[in-house]
Amino acid sequence: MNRNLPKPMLDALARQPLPADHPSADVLTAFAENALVGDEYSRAADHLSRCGECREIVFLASSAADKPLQVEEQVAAAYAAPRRRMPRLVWGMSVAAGVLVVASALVWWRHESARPQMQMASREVGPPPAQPVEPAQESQPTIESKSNTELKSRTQSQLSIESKSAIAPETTAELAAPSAPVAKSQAKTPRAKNVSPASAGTLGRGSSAGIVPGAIPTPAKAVPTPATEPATIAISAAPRNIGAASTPLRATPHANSFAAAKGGPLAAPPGSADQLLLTPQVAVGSLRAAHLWRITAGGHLEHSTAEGWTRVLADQSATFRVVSVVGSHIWVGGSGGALFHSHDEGQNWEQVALTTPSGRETATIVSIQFDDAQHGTVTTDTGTRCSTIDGGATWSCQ
Amino acid sequence: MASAPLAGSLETQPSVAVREFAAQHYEASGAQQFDMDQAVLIKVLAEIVKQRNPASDNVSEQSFLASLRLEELVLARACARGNERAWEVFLTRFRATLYETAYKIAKIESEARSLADSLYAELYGIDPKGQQRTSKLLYYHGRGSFEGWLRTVIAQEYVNRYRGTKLETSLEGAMEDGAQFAASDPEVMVADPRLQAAVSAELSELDVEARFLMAAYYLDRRTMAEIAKLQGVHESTISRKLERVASGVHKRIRQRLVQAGMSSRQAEEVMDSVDVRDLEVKVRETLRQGIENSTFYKEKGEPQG
Repeated sequence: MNRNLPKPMLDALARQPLPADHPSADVLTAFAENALVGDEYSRAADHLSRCGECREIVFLASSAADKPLQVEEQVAAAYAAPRRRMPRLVWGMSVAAGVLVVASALVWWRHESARPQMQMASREVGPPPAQPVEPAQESQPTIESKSNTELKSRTQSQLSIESKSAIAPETTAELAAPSAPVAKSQAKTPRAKNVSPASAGTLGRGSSAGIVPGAIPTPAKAVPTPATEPATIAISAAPRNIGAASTPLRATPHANSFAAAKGGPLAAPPGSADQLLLTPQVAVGSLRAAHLWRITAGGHLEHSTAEGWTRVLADQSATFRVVSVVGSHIWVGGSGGALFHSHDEGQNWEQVALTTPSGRETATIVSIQFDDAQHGTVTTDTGTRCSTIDGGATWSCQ
Repeated sequence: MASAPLAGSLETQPSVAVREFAAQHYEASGAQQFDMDQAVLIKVLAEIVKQRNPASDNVSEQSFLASLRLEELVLARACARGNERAWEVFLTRFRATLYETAYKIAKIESEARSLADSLYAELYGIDPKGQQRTSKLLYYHGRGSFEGWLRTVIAQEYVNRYRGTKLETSLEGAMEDGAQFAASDPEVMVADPRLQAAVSAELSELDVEARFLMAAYYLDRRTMAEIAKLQGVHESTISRKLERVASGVHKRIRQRLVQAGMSSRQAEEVMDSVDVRDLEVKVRETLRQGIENSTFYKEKGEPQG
């Protein structure tokens, strides 16, 4: 800006009469800090407009202050100018944002409206005539790449949200899946395309934050699997590392894979989800032709059926913390060392007592990991680990 | 200048508002930890209220009291009373500020240390006779922040010193520094009385804030950033204000000149060419309006600011 005051005015300013009395340091400070009230501000400003010495003092003191400009004013000024200068752009951005919101809502609505159809499709027996299964060799690259990307991004985001939210152990809802068959079938069975990333996303979200009863995750773009070969999905953290709550854990490869329980086709390619960093609170999920296990926020074990979620072991007072599915074997553990086992997919249950050298284990079970139906390890929140090599008939605790 | 402490010579009768205010804020003020009882606090507040020149102020006593920095005021007064605990707090909180501010103002370390040391002695209130402490802290009335007050006091001290040394500058030294002494112009331009009247009228009608801005920017050559920092606004705000003030002044003076009988071109030429030092504008009369009451207290002990 040019210093372009009319010269006569400038000189008249310079020749203003000097006031006799000067304001105190107290008043000058208050002026500089905008703390003067009433007429005092005007009087101080009037004095300062005529007294060069006082102005010098005020500016010297001000320059010595570290106090920066108020941030909100800087921000306001930064945004004020462009807003005035580019009203069209602002309006355009507003309209674009509105269009984006509407488009998102439309996509969501279409997705939601398609869900019942997909659920029905997943329950069908045998492949639908309208969508024949394509040869795996041909369709694999496309589906694999798409599912790989989507799965990874979706699962990562969901799991990271879960790990950041520091969900309390007792509020974590978990889904169980048969981990051992998954691991083995992953290596042996051919890949398939019947479980889409969308189903994995739904499962992951439900398993971490609590699944709404009845909201059974289903494949979004599935080629239904025959009922005799139910697809199973498992997402779990490495149980051995549970307890190091703040340390992100690398999931075991078998646990983060999509697999079929009985030689069924795999949906997602290997290495898609098993590279994720998971926290100990990552849920375990299982999709067994709409056959899921979970632990609710209240510590209850629930089992999904076509009708919805049904509470299991309702007569038990223990607060369950973890559930694990190995084939037809279901293991569930919780507070007070409570450990229950079902060998027939939850039809019958038996309580298992873990005995340590000091007596019966009463600590809360926080992890159950079975490599197969015979070999498994149970970990408590006090660090006690009990292992079995005979399907839970005997336990060795340390 | 600043209101001098009454030092007990004049017993001030505290008002009801002061008593109530002291009773309400005694605990929060921290006076108790410095061995200041409520009566002392009331006395301090009563003195400050009395010296605020309420006749020309339209602010209620309660509002005035509420605007005070009570905690810092108590600390300053406790230091002035020689309370050891208060000095510990003062040194902890403000010693670094004192020396840092002195360095920022003086720019030279030795000068800054000298400046801060002398001020520190004044704050401590060493009396040569050893009779009574006369701490400069008694001049702090809690109108602004204590830290800001310390900065202002250091700036005052620096300006006083600078003014003193400036007067001692020799003519030879000034010439060596490049000072030039212009010869007086034998042809004194006789200014148009219409211009004198227009400038005088315009100056008298300017509000104080505009005058302060113009003086700081056009006379002192302060940057807009400096003015903005002082006023706590963004630089662009100052830019807009200055532009508005300058263009307004220019326009109004030209209008006055046109109304007085000049053509637009004549008015422009007069405004651009005439040195107003040739005018006999009765600035004193025009600016004395409304400030008959003494705005500030005259003080004997404090340097003129």
